Amino acid sequence: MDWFKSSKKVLSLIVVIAFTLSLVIPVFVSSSSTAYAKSTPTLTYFVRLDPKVATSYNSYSSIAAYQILQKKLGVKLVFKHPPVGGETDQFNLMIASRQLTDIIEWNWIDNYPGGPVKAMLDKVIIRLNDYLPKHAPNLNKYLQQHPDIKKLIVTDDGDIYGFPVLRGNNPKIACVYYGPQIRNDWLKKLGLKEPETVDDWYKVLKAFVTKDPNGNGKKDERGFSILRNASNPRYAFDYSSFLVGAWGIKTDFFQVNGKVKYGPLEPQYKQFIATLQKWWKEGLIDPDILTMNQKVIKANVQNDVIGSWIGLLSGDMGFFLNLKKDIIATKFPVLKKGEYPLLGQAEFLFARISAAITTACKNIPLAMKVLDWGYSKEGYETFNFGVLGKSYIKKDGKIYYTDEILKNPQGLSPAEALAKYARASINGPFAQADEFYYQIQMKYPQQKDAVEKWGQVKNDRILPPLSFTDDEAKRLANIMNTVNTYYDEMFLRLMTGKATNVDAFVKTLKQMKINEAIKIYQQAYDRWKKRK
Amino acid sequence: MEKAATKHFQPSRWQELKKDLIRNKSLYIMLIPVVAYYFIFHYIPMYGLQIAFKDFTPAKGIWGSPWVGLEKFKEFFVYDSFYVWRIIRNTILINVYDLIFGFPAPIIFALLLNEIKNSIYKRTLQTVSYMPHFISTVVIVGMIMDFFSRDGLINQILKSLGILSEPISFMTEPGWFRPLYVGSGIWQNLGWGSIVYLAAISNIDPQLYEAALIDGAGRFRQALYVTIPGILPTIVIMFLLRVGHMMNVGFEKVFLMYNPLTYETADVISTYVYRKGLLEMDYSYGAAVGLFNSVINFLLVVFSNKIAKKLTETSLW
Repeated sequence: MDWFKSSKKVLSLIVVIAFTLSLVIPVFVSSSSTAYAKSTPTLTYFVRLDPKVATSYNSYSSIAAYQILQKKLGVKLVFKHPPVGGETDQFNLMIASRQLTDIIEWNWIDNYPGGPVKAMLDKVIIRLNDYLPKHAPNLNKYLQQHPDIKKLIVTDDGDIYGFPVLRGNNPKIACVYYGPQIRNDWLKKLGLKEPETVDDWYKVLKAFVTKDPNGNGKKDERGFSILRNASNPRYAFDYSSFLVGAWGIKTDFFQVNGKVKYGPLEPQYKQFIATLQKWWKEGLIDPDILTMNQKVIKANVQNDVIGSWIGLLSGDMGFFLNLKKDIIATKFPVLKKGEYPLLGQAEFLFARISAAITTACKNIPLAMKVLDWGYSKEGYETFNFGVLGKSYIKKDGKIYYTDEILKNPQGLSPAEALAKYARASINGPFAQADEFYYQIQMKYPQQKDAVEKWGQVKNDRILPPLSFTDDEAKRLANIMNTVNTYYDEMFLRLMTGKATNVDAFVKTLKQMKINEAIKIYQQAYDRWKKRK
Repeated sequence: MEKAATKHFQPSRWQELKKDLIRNKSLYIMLIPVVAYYFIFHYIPMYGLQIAFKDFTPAKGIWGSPWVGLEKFKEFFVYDSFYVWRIIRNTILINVYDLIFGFPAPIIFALLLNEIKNSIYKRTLQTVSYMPHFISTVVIVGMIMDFFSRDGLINQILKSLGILSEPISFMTEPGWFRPLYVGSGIWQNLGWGSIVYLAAISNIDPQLYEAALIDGAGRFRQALYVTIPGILPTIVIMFLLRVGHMMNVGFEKVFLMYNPLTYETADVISTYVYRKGLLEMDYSYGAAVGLFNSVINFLLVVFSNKIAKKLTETSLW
């Protein structure tokens, strides 16, 4: 039994080692952790990891701005980033399991069922009003100076639930970043003018797919595609109102003269769908938008296969301009030449995202202090520009980004390079500087032109961030879950011509009680109008 | 009289158990982790099932949430009636197809493998057939999407053979969802599933084959009259276990494969519950539908077990 004996020896050796380690390790661990706890308090912070940061770091704690913050305020921030693509799942699991972090940065209006009011009722996040004057003087002052923004971020009862992500001062620049883009060289080659009306668009797209503008001798051109939200084209139209806005309606909820409406129920919706069907039937729309593959679409734009698309100002347009593609933005289409577009992509200065403090937070004043720093002068500069001398310089009282940001030696885009130092290229709880938009988002003249063109919409039919009561939210979730599943499916079927009967579609929506949902929206909107 | 007899019998049963416990001590110790696993991960969570009858909010906890009776079931069957029948139909149809085409496939594969006499060739074939089983679902679906996309391999082959002029977009045609789902499942599980049947075949007494041979049976007849009856009990048990999952379709794979255009044939109970229960945070609703699902599964097992007992004298209990 030699084997048995030797294995016994090994076993006893393991036991001895394990025993010794068990004596030593806790000493190390506990001593270091208690030492930490005494000197620097810790806050946990749930926020999605932006891909622009992910190219350099795997946590926001590595961003220079946060290192400055932690040093200045004597606090340690532990970021919890959900896996990319699984943000909603992870968030919902966190809420369900009650393993809340101290701070959660989230779109409480759209991505928490029932909205912020419900989140407070569910005891997920806390009401901040009582803490605000004492522990967040900077935000408090900002809100007093900007009552219009305060109206956007509070609930109907005047509750403040989070530190808002603000887009700066100039809505004409700051809130415009998504819209139609087109190949200028293709237009020139075919002797076409930049499309303005829906009919122009049809003619341009038709010429694109029939006349071989990329000159490879093959009929491989696709007229129009969608870059963001490619997996569900309806969202792209919901979000930017491209095309559908020409008829003065949206694909989902909007209002006209104080009356809430729902796109599919409007008579104009039929014309929009008919146009879309025509485009699809004649092969003007990229079929890849059905197979949820954004990467393929982007590669096809790069390979000169796609002529026009809706995309982002910096992420898409900037990317292609960097590759020396000759592209320009166009205005949102209208029905008659010279008309002013009624609807386009529209955002409010408040980006609907807020950093809220949870009920799990043990040190609320500290969390308030950390989040409030972003609205101070110092925090504003750090979050927007990063580190003085490294990522920005001051000249004649003005601030400029350095060449490291604008012409990054490692080949990062300006937004990516800035993400190493500041949070300006990612939405964050602070007020964004206009300089960021001018110097980074609009690096190329075509981008300046894009903002100019996309900004030319009225957008007064867009609904502001509404808040619903608990009962309203429940009923709404009930109706809209049913409606949205059906609508997602039907939108694609209508677009591709597999279904043609809009009336039947509307009839089913009514059976699903869409009118009740509209009524709930109307009530919430009426309350919003009464907000002070 | 009978009552008295059982009363008298019971202590001796206990004693027998005690004796058995002592005699097979190590076996019972080995059983502990398994029992503990089922207890901790399958029985304790059943406590949470009550939220199916409550209006659960995390703030109030399981205890604090008010009872609502069958409200959540009503919500599923009455308010959501637009989808209920569709998702139940899809769930059952996918399973039925899987049962018709997927269940016999490993058996046939095992029978065919059994006929191969060259052992090196046989083993290579077997190993190759296992491989897809070890690829994760995410990768499998990625491969399906690449192969079956509009300009993917399959379309290109069909085009170059002149079968098609226009590419088929497999992933967005509701009609293609089930064949793709079931077909890829067969490809994935063929080899792995055949192991248990191969083991059963190797247990068949060789004398039976000799006897069949003497009686003049060829290889086909040997398979028909010796091999298949020999593995029939295994087939029946496997079938019963399979039926117990009739209402469960792999959530992961459907979720990765479907899109709004294929909801019509692809949306199943588990994906609907995911959208409603987790994304809309209606946990009670999710629990209610899950419970309904489990009850159906349970009934299916009991029912098919009974039938199997009658027909083949093999059953789970």
